Amino acid sequence: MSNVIQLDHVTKSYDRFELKDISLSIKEGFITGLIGPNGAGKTSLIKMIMGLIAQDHGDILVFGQNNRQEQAAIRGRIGYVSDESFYYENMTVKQMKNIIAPFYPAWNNDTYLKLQELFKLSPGKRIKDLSKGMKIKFSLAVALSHGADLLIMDEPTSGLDPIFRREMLELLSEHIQDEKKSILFSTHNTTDLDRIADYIIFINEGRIVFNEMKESLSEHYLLVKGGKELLDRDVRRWFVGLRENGLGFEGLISNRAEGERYFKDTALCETPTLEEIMYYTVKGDEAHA
Amino acid sequence: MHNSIALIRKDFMLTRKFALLLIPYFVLMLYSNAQAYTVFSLLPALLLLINACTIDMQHNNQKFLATLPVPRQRLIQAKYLTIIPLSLFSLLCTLLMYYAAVTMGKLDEPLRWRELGLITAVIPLLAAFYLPLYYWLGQKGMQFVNFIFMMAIMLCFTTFGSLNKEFPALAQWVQDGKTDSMLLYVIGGLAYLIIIYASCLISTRIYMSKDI
Repeated sequence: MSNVIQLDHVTKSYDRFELKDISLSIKEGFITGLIGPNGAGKTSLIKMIMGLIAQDHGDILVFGQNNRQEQAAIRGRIGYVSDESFYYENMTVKQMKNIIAPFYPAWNNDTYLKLQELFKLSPGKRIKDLSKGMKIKFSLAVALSHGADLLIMDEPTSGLDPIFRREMLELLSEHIQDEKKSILFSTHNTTDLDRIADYIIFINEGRIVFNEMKESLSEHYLLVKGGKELLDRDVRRWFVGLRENGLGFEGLISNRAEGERYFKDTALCETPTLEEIMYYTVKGDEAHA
Repeated sequence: MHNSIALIRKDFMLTRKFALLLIPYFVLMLYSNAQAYTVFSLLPALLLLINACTIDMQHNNQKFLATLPVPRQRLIQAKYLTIIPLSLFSLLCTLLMYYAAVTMGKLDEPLRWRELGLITAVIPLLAAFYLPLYYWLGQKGMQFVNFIFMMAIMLCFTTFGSLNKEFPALAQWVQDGKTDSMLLYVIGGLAYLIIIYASCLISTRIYMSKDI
């Protein structure tokens, strides 16, 4: 199983934020979800992979090629969908397509026209007159029309209605059926990833918290709900994040086996959702900061 | 090369509506000051270039360009190459205006092709000063750059008006094609090419290291 993206000790510093020593790999043929709170570094990470911003240190390989040296060849195989529209606002959908298509030798106009119809994109409508959701649909139509081997999507589902969101997720699942195509999908909406992702990368405060198969997360994490009398100083240390109220507590443990051993008869033990893992990890980091 | 053509085509698509505004410009110039027709080729090309650059810088459009499968240095080269068709377009419009003026009886003189050629050649030179500033200052400094550039264009208009006084040798060449020192023109030509090449290198250097 080869890596479609490989980051080795990548660092990028801004005035008030830093991506610190990021090393990770993204597997070919899978959907990888990138989750994290606002300002965690998801967009910066994606921009570095795309070569839009330069890392201060470290190497980024995409399709086994250095992303700074082989930027054009790499981008020809990537379909990029961003939550912010970057197309020429005064152009119509058709004009914009006519601008983009010549840059991609593998451009398939039939595929584009099918997607245009599926997404109900009006060719004569100006980009500035499209809603946010429609702009994302247009981006997606473009990305899927040039035979991209890797789709990189930065918050693609924000601004989409629930019906199209589901349709889009189905479309993405279909897209990777040949096991050669891969998707990196950044989102706040973890329910989207619960549906389609194979791997999850969780980033918080510029650091990778984990990069694991989605299924294996349920083997590691445990959500515990119980009475406050169960918490003492030593027990509290087991929790990644803990929320207490007048009735009791709810917290996340990263060592499921140990947690189940201690709490199985005294508290309610559940498998956490991605959102719960994210919430308690961020909360825990804030408490320890 | 294919990508460069696609990028030039993109610039023409972006500015084609703006180009329609040049029709009233040339009609007005034809009626008001047809005698100075050679100078009028300067403005359209430069305005179209500024317009294309301004649109490229708005609404995250740099991000669009930077995600295309084109190396960044090719994006810069294409922008410099765009100046050639823009200059030719401007020259063509001026020629049309000249023949229209002759047909309408507003002008009665042979085409001042040396003067027209010289003014057309100034377009890439002015662009060579504009583009590095444009890439350096980006969206935030774009208005400032455009203002400075418009001042430079006005300065060029004035300079051509006083060509006889300031550069008598050049004015002589424009008049009759004769020159005392060929070497001076060779050096001038080389300096012209070096300025454009250096400008392209500076713009590439700036844009290559820019975070978008």
